[in-house]
Amino acid sequence: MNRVLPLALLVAAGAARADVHRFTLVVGDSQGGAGTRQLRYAERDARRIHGILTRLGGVREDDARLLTGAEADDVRRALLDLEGRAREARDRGEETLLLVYYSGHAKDGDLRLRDTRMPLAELRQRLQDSPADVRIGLLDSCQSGAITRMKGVRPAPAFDVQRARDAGPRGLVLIASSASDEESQESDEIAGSFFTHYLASGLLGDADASGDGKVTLAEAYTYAYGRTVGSTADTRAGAQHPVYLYDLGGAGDVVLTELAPARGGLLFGAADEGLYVVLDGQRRAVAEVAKAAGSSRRLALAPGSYIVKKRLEDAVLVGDVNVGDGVIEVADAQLSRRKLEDDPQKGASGPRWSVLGTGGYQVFFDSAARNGLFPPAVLAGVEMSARDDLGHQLAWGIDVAVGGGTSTLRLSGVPDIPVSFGELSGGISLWRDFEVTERLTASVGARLAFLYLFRSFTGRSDLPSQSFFTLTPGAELAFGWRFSPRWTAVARARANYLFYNVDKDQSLGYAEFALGVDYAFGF
Amino acid sequence: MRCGLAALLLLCACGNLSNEDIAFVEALPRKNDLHVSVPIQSAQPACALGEASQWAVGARDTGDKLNAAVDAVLGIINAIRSSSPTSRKPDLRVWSFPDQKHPGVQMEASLLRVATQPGSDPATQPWSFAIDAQRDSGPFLEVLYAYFVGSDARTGQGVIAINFDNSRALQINGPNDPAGVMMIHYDLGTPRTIRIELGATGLGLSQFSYFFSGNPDGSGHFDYFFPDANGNRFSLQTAFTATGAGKAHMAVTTSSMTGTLDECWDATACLTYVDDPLNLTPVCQALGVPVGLCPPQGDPLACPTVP
Repeated sequence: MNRVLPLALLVAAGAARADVHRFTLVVGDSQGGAGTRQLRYAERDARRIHGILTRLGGVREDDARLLTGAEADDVRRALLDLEGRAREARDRGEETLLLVYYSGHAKDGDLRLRDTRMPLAELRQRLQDSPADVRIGLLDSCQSGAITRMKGVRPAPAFDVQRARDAGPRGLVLIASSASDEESQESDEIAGSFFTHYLASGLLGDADASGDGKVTLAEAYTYAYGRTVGSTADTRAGAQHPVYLYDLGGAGDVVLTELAPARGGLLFGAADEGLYVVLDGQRRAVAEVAKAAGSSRRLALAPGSYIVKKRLEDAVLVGDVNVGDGVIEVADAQLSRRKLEDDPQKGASGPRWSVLGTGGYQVFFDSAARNGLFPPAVLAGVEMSARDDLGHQLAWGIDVAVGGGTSTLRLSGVPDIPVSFGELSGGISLWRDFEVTERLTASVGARLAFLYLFRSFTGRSDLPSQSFFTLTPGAELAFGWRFSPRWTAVARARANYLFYNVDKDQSLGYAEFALGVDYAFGF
Repeated sequence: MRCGLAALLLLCACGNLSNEDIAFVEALPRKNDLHVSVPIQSAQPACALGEASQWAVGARDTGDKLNAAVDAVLGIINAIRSSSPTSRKPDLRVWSFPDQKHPGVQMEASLLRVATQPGSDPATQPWSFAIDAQRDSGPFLEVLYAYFVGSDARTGQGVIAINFDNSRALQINGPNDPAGVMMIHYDLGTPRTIRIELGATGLGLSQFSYFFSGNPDGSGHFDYFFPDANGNRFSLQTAFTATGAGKAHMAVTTSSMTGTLDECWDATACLTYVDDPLNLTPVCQALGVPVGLCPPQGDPLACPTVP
């Protein structure tokens, strides 16, 4: 059953009580144990919501808990801690609010946190019994709507807030991203789950239907519900319908975010209309604004570099913005018109290419090999890579490097022989990127390379020049620090296996360390 | 291409990157190391006794012929040194290749590192080296055999035997090759000694046991032999200083007599002393005295002090 909130029954948000002491537990887990597939964006979803609540939601850092990759007992402990703090605040006479957000797996009535489980019924009961005045549960997971069907909680066809003259809102609200028999879907295009993406966009300001600079619970849900249903209508899994359950009394609506205290952001003026998507430096959607002409909309974004795009029928409008302390007005006239295939959004226009230049050092693990056949070498290389080409955050690249040096060949009973050597190596790599922070990415992958080494003996034309060619499989680990939308500083380590079979059969290994700068092409 | 494909399919390695190969070829003697070095000057200025010492010049010329002979027979070793072996075993390297100068002839050189006790001095490491050749599908015949000691050929010692009869049977001999076997004994320590034994006349040299001993400063000894156009046979023992001054003692056998002759020369090869009772030298012949009556010419005190 759809839980649509008729706009007519929306209660105008009263002024949020500024002295409400807010606590939040944000959980994101991509793994749900046996029988579940790994989610791609659950942890990113959690970080997004955590960032919004601590920046705009009035939650102090001390009162916020962000858990990623946690187990059920970790959630229980965090919840217990926050409940204790809420109780202390209440005992001091403060009004309190506890918001629990979860993004991850849910199945058969349980939240699935890796190989551990937390029954939905337990979470609901904890929220009901929590000492906070207002308890809000936001679940973005498959079949999470089951939490709204539990005994003891009244479903209602509309959001109805009763006015009370002497108290703010009191009670329990549960919002689930999909009905109990529906899947909650992720999207590569928005790099997140549909529901959380629209919830986040709404909390940042696009849900502020009243235009008072506050996004209430009702406004956020209405917005997220409509956008989620609309965006999932044509997906393979079918439309996804968030559900809403409340047991809330008291005066006023619950304000989730306030835009005014945040100094920076974007303002979409009244003259323009359409769907605007705001992308971060990694070209992933961080917020959307769907606006009609005649009203302006503000997004309270965190300071940083963003890309604003608006997709038209035959083109895409794109503009770079740097959000600082002030509000930047975005107008269509200021955006550049580009071809649709140049859509900067990750995954929207095919693979993203980049070129990496490196300087590095190669050293063999075996000391005998290092001091004779394979001396340490300095390498300079270049790599062309493609992201958003294979999906699943996989990327591939082709690299080549040249290098060499000098060394000395020492043989028993023979005077030292000076050696000059050169090296050519190249390979193809396949790796997966892991977002550590917004700017820091870790990459882990495999590589198959060829190595061609040649050497001659300085001043000894009587000795033959020698060479060696082989293929070497290996693994690599890299960290990239994105310091601008296109430029990333990279530190990389590789370990390779090499089979040497001239003097004798030997299994050897070597490592390569490199530092470089990556440049992303086009948009 | 084939190597690259094999590497691609089997992850095998290709190439000749080898420290052991270098260790093996470093043990092979270089032809330059087996050269005779006689520091006799070429210029022949006016001399007090009227002429330059023909024996000094002869020593230099004979040394040059010996060196050319060594180069001719050991040139193949140099070619082996600069190429990679065709097969490798832990203590053996083999080079197989066609003889470019003689179609149908296949050459095979093998170098064996003789087993020693672990920890043995590299200077005492023995090696066994052989070059065999085969014409068409015939049997392999040994054309060269060597045994040497020392990891570094520049300071080692050994013996090389070149079998000219086998090379003639294979039709790979040179036009001036002698018959029989040529033996080269060498010790490249201090002094550096080289003994070349020719079993028969050839390579521009006469059958003889040539001996050279050289010191680091360039001084040394050189014993050599030559016949003249009249069939007289001269065997000489020469000794020289680093500057090229020297002395010679010669034993002469003619059709009618035998005898000895002594002479000294200075750094310009000019005679400084001659004792020629046989009247063989132009100095004595110019005096017109009977054989056996030519007095010593020059000053014996002018003879150099030789090692």
